Amino acid sequence: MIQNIIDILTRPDAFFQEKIKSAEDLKIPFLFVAVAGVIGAINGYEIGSLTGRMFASANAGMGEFVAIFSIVGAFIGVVLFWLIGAAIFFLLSMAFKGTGSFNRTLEFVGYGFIPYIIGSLISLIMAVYYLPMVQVPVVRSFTDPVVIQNAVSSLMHDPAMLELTKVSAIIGIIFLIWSANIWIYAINYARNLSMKHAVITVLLPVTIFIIYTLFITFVGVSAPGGY
Amino acid sequence: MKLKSNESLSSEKKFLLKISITVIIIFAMAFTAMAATTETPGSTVTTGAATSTALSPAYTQVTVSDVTLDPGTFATGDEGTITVTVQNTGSQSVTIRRATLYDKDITLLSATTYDSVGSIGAGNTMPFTFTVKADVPDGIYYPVFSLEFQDTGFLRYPVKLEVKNSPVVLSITDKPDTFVPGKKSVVILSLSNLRMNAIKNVIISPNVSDIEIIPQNIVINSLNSGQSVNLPFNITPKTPTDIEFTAMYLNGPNTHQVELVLPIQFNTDKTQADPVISNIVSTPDGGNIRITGDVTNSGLQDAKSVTVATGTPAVPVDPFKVYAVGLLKPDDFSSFELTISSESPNEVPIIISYKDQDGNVYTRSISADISLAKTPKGNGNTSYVPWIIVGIIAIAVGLVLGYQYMKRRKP
Repeated sequence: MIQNIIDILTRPDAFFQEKIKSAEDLKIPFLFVAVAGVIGAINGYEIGSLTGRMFASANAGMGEFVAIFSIVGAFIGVVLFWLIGAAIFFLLSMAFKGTGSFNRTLEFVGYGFIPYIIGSLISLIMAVYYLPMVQVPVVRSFTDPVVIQNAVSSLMHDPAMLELTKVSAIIGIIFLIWSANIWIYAINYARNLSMKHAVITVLLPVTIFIIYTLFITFVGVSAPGGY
Repeated sequence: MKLKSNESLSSEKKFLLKISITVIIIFAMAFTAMAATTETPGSTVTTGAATSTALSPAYTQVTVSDVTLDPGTFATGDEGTITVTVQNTGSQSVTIRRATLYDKDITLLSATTYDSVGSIGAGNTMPFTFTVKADVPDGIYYPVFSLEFQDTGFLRYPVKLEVKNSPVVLSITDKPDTFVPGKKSVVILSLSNLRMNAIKNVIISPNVSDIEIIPQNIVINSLNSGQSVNLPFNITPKTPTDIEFTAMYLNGPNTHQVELVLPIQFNTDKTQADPVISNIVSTPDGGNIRITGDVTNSGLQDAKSVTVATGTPAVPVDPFKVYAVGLLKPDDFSSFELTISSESPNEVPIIISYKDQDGNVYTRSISADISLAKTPKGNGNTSYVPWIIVGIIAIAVGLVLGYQYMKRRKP
């Protein structure tokens, strides 16, 4: 397993060249995605705890609700990211007359989540470093939406929170590029495309996603109800 | 004695008869004179000079039927009236020459009023009113009422006149422990009539203009002897001063007054509401600063309409320019929240305003330090280490991907 992981990270071409010969198997890719989901859930719990503290004065059970919502949301989000990403690659590759089943695409794209796991771990360490510095505003009542909006905005504009957001975004982009490199070979083999078409298929949505991430991180924050 | 004409009587008998008649007449005159000098109850009727020529039984029936003094009891220096009413209880009219009142101590102010009176018919009454001045010390005096008849004789009647300087007392029955500026307080005065007679037309009024006092005066028509009455005044002072209460009253026709000074000195009401602000925390709130804290009523009275706000030079902004707490009962507390612009100075006043039960507004201000909220804690603790780590990671990933690319380029 360890050797496979190293091969995926360092020699994805050779790995998928061998893997395409074996039968489709989603268990291992799902395991990687699940691990990524768990780490993402832990990360989400850390962030959600801040929101829970923010609303704790207004409602005693609000903190726990936000934490559970963050954990479940982060895990499901990673799984959806896998499914939607694979679907996008599958659809784009159809433009290049790609062949191969969706399950194979899903399987190979799942292997590309290993860099995502590493990136999530580093982001989690960064969160542990930054989150104690965040000053959490207190919302004492849910009756005024403006107060809630201002509190969320205040949290998102906290200097430590802003720093964490930027660092996490850069780390995510770095490891997304690494994953994209793996996905290029994955689509190359899974959809039986040329390397050029595989590059286009993968880099087109990935580039758009990276630009979007950079935009919301450094230009504007799309906080709920914020500005 | 019955006399019979008898021609047969001798001259001696006629002489004895004349002597007897003369003696009888003399006794009759003596008896009449004695009757004329006999005192009737309350009055003395005496014959005039020994030269009275005829006896008039009518005037002996003139008596004093009523005596009225106003005031009933005089104070030293008081003027008043003495009304003596006489009644002719006889069957004939009596002519009265003059009536007067005299005393060596009591001054008669209306000396010539009854120099010529006239007749008083049978069964009639006639009042004689004299104005006197009792410029004498305490004591009981007996000025004499004298009635001089036309024909002969006098009627003298001593009138009891009491002079007593018993006071009418104005005192403070109840007042608050302390007076507070602008707060309505109830002061209860008491007016006691310790005189022997009733006083009338009593007016109690405060002699001050710059203090709101309700009512402005209290009027009592009559206050009987030994009676007391409470006089409540609602006083809303603004500045420390002395309020001089004056009770003016009539003792007969004489105006008297008593005074009472009520000092108004301000001090802290020991039972008043006492909102205390504590637990002040300032945190950044977006581009603004949020100030939170608690306000506790540590007094013994309700604090009503409590509001918390920031004062100049703080710049309040929405959503909590002002925080309305409302009613705070003793020992109750409430949290408050204010938002101000981050352009506000480091020291901002927090003003708490409340009302007492009379609607008087009180304010209290404390200073809050918001400098910590203006210097975000996170900035000082963040470092470049995470970014260095990110850079190393980026380089490492770049090397991995570059190695793969170079390896792929090799044939």
